Amino acid sequence: MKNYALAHHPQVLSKISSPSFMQSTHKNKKKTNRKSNAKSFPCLLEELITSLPHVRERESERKRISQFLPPSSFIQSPDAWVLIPAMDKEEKSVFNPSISISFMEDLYQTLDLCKDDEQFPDYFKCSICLDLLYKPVVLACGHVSCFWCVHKSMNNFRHSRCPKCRNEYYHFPCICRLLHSVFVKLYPVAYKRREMEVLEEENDAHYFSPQFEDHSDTTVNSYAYHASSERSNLGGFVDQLDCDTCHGEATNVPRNSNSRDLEGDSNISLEEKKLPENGQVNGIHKQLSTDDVLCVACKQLLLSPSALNCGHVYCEACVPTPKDESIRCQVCQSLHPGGFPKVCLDFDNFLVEQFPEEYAHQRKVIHGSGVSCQQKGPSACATQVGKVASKSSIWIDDFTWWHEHGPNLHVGVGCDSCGRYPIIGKRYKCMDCKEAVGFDLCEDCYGTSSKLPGRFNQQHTPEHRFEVVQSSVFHKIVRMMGGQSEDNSDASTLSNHASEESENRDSTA
Amino acid sequence: MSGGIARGRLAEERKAWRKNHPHGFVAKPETATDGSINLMAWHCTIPGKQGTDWEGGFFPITLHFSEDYPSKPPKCKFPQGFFHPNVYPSGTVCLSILNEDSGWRPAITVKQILIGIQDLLDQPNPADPAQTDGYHLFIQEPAEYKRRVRQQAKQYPPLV
Repeated sequence: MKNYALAHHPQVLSKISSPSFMQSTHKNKKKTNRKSNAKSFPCLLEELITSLPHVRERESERKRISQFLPPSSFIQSPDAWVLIPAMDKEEKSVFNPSISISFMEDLYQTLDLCKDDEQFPDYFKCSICLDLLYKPVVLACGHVSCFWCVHKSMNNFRHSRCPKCRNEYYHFPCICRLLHSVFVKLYPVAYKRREMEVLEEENDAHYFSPQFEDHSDTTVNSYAYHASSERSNLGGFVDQLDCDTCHGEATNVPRNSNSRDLEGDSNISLEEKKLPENGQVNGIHKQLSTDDVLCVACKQLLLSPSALNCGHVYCEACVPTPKDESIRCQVCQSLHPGGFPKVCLDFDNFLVEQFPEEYAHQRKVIHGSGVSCQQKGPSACATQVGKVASKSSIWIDDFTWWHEHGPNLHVGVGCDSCGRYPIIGKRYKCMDCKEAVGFDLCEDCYGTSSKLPGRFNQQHTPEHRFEVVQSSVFHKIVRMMGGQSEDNSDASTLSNHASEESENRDSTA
Repeated sequence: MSGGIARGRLAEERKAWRKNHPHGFVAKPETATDGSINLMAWHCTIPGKQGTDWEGGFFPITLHFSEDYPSKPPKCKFPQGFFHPNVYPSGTVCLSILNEDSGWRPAITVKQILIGIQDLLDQPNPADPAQTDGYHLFIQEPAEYKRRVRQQAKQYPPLV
């Protein structure tokens, strides 16, 4: 959605830095004098970028977003292009590939400078995409990743492993709404950027994550204020640069010193930019109150937060202790598969930092009343890497496992109620859901007739009809080994997504 | 969703590296002659650790990322015939954290991979040999092994 994504787009990169493109700028140069060339180069770049088909598609979307976004990005404020001409002061250098690379490096740095995101702590960085967590999902081991990052990294055949600690798990947890709303409040700009980026990918792929409508008005208002203050600052920044470039051209200052000037200028303006931003950050921090991070059971500040498979967050001590075997969420009544959930340490650290007094007070109250968090044993996740089995035993394990579960395994198909992935056993497929991702239930969830909506924003209703689908994994394997291209009905019952992925896996295995 | 996140992640990796990286290391996505950048292959340099026989060497290594990255680890290759007990004759590094079935986690970054391989250089794992030459000398002729390592370090001087 933003220039950042564009600049990293391989097509743009290759076009900008390709010799033919450089040639075209050179031709322009011959015809025109230096001054007008300074304008033609950015214009060309802009033309090039906007001529990409997917950019044109997004143009309307961008216009819609731009009212929320500060204008300090290349696409939204064409004036910022004046940064570029400084790079090609020496005409010869334009044709030297190594210079064009360093030009791209400079462009990268400039883009980084123009990024308006709030700074977020490393523990809120997804370990898979290395960006701000978006639609956070808390795994049973307490580690958090984005919804799509977790989904994409899950194993289509067997148990999946936590991307941080390799803890085994089978269930794709629901999005943690509490963390989601915390991020919406704390990092409105960065989170909005993530939302737009992900939405774009989702539109391309026709798979959707659950959509929430919780962007409160206060957030938008504060954001609009933020944007306007940013805009006024940037106006000055661009003016300064304009003078600088003119000056540089008149006196023919060598490129290096000029670019240093530019750097200095941008540093200054960055500081200027930060001033209102910092104030704003404080303002946002004030907005986040302890009311936003309460335990669903005791309604107090979360103490050692633990999330269940349904995404609801409890204090470690408040997680409903099972009388029978399984933990059941008090709010949504859904079962929590597996054992006792581990404390989400990253979130815990954040709470201690954010609300030191309240947290200490809460801890005192809980310990004073005799309910010790320790009574359930040490449950915080020790980041241990799974034991390394010797190769032979892995093979034997594999063989017995496949022998046992292979015929009932539904490769790449998950249960939309409990999140079990992949489904092993009977698979109930909805006949009426039209979404590409489909809607499936495992045997247990079909029996309990859960009313939860689908994991991928499907419009499933209880009136929809189901059919039992047989596992097609063996048929597929046999077909692939025989090299037959005929399509049988079993395979077609698999969703496109699943068959595509399983094929990829088979070919790489 | 069908689209992978490999490129997005690698772009973030690159940004993080440019912001901060360990001294002496180099990591750069491949650049074609026309100036286009291929994020899926990185040309890196690992410096030999100071105070070891590997000191003074700046070893080139290429990281090949697949579309399944970061679910699957990158393939890390030294030049063909690289002398080390845990490097295959093809140059591919054999290391637990680079093995999807044992130690790989998507949370491992390029920086951690390169530091992990730097550690491996001076601390080979005799339980997992990948070449006969390096393995036998390491086990049977420590003096000759040392000589070969130092010779190889001289073979890869720093790139000015």
